[in-house]
Amino acid sequence: MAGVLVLILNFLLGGSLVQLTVVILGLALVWFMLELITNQAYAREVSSSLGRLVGDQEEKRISLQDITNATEMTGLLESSNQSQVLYALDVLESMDPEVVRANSSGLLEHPSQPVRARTLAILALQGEDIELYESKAELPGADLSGEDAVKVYDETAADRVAIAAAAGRVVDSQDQEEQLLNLMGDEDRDVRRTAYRSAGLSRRRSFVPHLVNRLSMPEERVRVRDALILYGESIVGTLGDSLQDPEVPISVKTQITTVLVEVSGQHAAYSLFRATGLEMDHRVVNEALRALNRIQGDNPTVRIPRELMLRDLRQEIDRYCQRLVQERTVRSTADPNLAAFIQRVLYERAEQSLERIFRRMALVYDTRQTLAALRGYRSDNARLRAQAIEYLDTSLPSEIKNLLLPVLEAPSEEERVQKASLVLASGPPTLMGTMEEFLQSRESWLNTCGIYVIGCRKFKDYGVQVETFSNSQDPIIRETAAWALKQLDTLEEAK
Amino acid sequence: MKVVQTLSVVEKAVFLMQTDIFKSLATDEVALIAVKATENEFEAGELVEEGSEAGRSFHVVIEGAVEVSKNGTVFRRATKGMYFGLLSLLELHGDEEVRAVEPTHSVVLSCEHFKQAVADNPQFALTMIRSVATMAHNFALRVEELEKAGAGRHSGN
Repeated sequence: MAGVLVLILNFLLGGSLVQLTVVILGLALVWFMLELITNQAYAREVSSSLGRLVGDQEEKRISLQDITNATEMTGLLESSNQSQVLYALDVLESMDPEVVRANSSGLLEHPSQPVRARTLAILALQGEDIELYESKAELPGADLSGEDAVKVYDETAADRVAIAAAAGRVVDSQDQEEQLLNLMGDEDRDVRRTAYRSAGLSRRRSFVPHLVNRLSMPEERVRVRDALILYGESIVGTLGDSLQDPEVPISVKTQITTVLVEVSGQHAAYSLFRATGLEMDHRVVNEALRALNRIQGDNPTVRIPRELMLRDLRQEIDRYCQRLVQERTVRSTADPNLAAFIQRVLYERAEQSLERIFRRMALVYDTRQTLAALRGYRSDNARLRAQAIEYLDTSLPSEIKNLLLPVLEAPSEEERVQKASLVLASGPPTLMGTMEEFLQSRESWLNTCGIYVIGCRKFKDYGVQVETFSNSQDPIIRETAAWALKQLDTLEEAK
Repeated sequence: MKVVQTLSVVEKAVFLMQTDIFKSLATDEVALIAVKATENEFEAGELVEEGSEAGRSFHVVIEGAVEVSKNGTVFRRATKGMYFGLLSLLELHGDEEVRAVEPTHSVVLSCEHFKQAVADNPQFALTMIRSVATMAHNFALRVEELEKAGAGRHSGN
């Protein structure tokens, strides 16, 4: 109709073919611009509507400050009872360290040496110059050089705290470095904490591996993290290497992601992104993606290479679909208890994969809105789910949309599994295929589950493969392999 | 009390996953706890000694039942899937007595491993807090009932 109108208009005005072409091209351009503007406005409206519906669940840092308790604790600082004062210092250190500083004069003259040591440590950890307090605490000069250095362990804990704090100002020689390392392993907690901070202040790279090792100790983690954060961007590459190192325990890697979040910035983001490959342990990937989302949420200028993210996203969608189909396949297993256990493992993996899909998308698209879409999709509210799907439909490139949306939009579980099967490049997995995939996985827990299936079902053909796991470094794999081999031996004996 | 080993790590993990305390944890997180757990067996009537290793540990009952009592009054019974020993582990015990009333088999976490599990796993810590809060709430309700019953008897007199 529009085309006919254009032709009639051109005829009435006596226009030439060239003029007609120009008019048509002009109209096409206007049409294209209007469509672009409308689509963008629609996408903005969908995303802001989703944000309003889901609510802003930005992580807030919670303060435990309680004015009433602070008053009570302050009163306890005047007690002559060592236990009471130490308790109050512990509470006030996290609640209101200013109170400790305000009362430091009396505390540093307290008859109890542990009280003086704790006070000094708190002051040092707050960045106070300990030299100002040394004379009050009746401590020797905190000089690590010369003969004084070897006397460190003859001194009281308070003295060692002062020495550890002083080391933050001067670590110039191998001897001083060794002394600080020794103080990091001191029996007294306050000495250790002060030594960690001094190591961080010194920014000497030689301390970094020791600090990273200490992240494995739950009671030391907070102070060690604080020390590593003091290094700033200078060690983000080293920390990124630790994330990829298979020898570093998972518990340490998850702490490293927290350090990188606090350091923040583009380089920290690259170090985290290196740890998000699908070949990495899923716990590390989950934490690294969360950390990346936080960094980008705080600093939208941080960028992740789009093509690399899209590559990982396509693989993650494939994995998600694989887990959905495997979970359905396992239900047909004869042993209901075994089936229930493996199903639970697969369901968990599918849910984690789904979360990673959204978190990967959040690296390239609007972080807040994409994570709101995740919450919306997981909601029981049908309207929120629909809104989340609508947001994805307007935001994702067609290549990703065509893979993911049919699975997410499926009205029933049956249909979701069916759509997931269509996404898989290979055919639907079998139970044996699933078990073999578990055995070959880099994830130790999936190896364990595969071995467990072999032991339960007594698949003796896999005996040789199970034996290779008998020498695993992982105690869960090792023990499960030993159990499975015993089950297979029992089968042989029965024959 | 005997220390036994009848279950593999995965079997312990599968059992724990079905209990209220552990069901909200991921399966691999439960396995990381299960690998550090041992098993104890108690005979019917056997007392769990307060100062002993078993007395300072966290137990989850696999089979059997234990009763926690004080001055002859039983105020808690732990059966299959339920735990006991938390208050002793946290050094909050009074003069309670913990006794197996049937042959009992439990999965056990030592004090050190329990604290490690809490430190490494916030979800587990949250579940324990919820469980203790529920226990405290139930005790408070029970005390209220007893006080009302007592007040009712006095006013009746």
